[in-house]
Amino acid sequence: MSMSSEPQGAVRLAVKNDSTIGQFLWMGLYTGIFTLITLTIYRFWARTVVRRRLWSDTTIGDAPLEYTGKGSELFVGFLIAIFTVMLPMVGALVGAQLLLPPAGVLAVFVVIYLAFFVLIGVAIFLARRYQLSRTVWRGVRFEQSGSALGYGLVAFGYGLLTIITLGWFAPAMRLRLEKRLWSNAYFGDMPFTYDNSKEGRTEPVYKSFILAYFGSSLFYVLVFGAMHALGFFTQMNDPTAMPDVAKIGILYAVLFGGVLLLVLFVAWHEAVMIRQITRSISLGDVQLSSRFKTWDLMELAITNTLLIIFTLGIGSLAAQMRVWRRICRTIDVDGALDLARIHQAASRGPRSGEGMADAFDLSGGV
Amino acid sequence: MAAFRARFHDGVTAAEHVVVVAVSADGLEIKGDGLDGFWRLQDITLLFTDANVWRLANGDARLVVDRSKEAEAALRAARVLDPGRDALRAWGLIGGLVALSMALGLIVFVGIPMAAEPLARATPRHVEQQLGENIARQVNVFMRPCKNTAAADAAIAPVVAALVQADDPGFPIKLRFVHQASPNALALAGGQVMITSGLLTTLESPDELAAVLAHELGHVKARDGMVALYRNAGLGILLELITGGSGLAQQAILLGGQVTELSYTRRQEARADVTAIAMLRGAGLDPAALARAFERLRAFVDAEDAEEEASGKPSVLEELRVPEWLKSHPDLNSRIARAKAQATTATAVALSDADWKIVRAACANN
Repeated sequence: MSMSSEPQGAVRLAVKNDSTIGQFLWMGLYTGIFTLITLTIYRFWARTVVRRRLWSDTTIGDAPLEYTGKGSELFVGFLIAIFTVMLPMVGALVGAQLLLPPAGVLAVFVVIYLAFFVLIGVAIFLARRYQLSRTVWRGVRFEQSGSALGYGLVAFGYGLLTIITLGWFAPAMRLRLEKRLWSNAYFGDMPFTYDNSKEGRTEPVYKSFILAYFGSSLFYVLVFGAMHALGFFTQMNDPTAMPDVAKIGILYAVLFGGVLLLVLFVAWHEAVMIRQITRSISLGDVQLSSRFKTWDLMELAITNTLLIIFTLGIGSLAAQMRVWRRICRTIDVDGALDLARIHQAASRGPRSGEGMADAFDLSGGV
Repeated sequence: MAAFRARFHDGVTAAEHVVVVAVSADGLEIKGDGLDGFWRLQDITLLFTDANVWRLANGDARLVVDRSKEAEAALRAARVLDPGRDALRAWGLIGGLVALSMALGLIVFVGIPMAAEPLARATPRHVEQQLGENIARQVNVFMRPCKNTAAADAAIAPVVAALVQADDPGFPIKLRFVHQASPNALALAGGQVMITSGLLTTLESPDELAAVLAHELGHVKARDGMVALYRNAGLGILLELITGGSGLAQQAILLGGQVTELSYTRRQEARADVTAIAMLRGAGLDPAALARAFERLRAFVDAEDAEEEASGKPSVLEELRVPEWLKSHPDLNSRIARAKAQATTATAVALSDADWKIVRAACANN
């Protein structure tokens, strides 16, 4: 903790995170117990407790991030979303099923399902706006501006494109959505910029995607091929046939090998993605980049799985923390900021938070 | 007056100032680096305590105090630091949320079941009728209606008419024969009644069928289908409200809900039996036929149970095949006894032998 960082003028910034597994295991245990005995209502406060810890463990240039959100804000946001979005939608669906002729039911279903998919994007955007507005560094808030509905509609359109292209638009969709978020984000009054015009913007992402795409296809071919070869499909028609332990053993071996292969392919693509997104982000003269490697993800995937299994799920918070910690530790910051010239954000952000994301069950984990 | 060094963020810019803080009885004096400010005690909140620092807030401004014995003593004396108060708040929150979840539980298990019957009674009959038609359409997706039942419909119509004349259930009765191997009959909202093909082969006389029909008309008269609809809708909405649609607590609530559901079903079954007995008497039939029908159904269930036990198959899925109205197994004896106690000599015949043959073959033509 340095007392003598330059109060004025440009400051060089390094991102660090010193969260410990023990702390997050303990938090996972007691927030889990409280969540259980309150019929899950405590989950909003649990998330707040965890974020406060995670944020404050994360320092940029020796000053920690600060999470100023409150559990009550998340709870109120959830109630608002339930009463203004979720219940009317469910009510319309149930009411239509009970009171309308079949054609009318179908029409209501289609409209509501389309609206639902748009609202998923809206919910993601609103959650992000809340989180940034509750993130403070050196007394100055972050801010997400832009239109939630616009984001929802664009995400919906990209989603359709991804379906039409059998998944091939997915990496482009992700990069474009990140750009939409980051180029509307601020630290105080200073805008982030997201530059996706850098050379090789999509090329490295798509190179790794090709492997991930065919790798996952290969996985399914492998597993279904093995099941077919072992006669699992013919057995299905004969309920009296006892499953063969040896065959199941072979299938599990194939599954295990397949999953390892799958994780390797997907991890490579994911690491490329993380590096690509990080190096597109800058704030003033500060340029971010990431050294996050395929092996980082592979190792995290394996060790986190073990961590969660051996702690009977209590370690899932610690597992999420470990991913965040690794991301922080692999971020490089180039350039310096004149912090005295960055002023407070204009807006205090929304008064309640993340309601829709919660109502739709999108905000899994931290 | 105790004084110590701290870092100060004014909440206007992101610059950091090194200051000297002096603690007095009514606030903190903050001086140094060109600043001269005063924080009143009532405006100060303790944001976060971690291993190294206390973070204090006053609006957007932040004061980061490194931990030291002197600073701790001074801040405690001013009650800026008050671990007892913070612990009380934290446990107060947990206690409050537990109380809230208990209140919600009370609504789920007591309030909603109690409100369901008055609500059902207040529902306009034409709305319930429309609801019943739509629900029947959905039920028929899983329970396929038997085809070419014109003769059977015509044969059974006089039985329904006689029962309705004895005690009007308040809705036009729409009777359907449906394909299902297990013997069962169900009454949905608004006078929709279904009889399974399994019931037609399990019962052995037309007055048993008339008795089962009378029992279902008893449900129609009590509007039990509508009651169940309200109860389940209320339960579903509250579940969504409490848990956001996920988690362990939801399972617990569902399980508990099942228990109340059963106990209410028991009361409704008893009432439907009483109505059925009156209807059968009014139509000149022997109410003891209801007891005979129950005994045949019980024999069917027992035979199935024995078969299950013999084959050693798990019975979890099999349980679903037990007719809804037989689930309250321990009560069945008293229900049989009640019907037997009302035995009289029949003055009418439910169906002629020829018509009984036609009805029994209702589902033979697909």
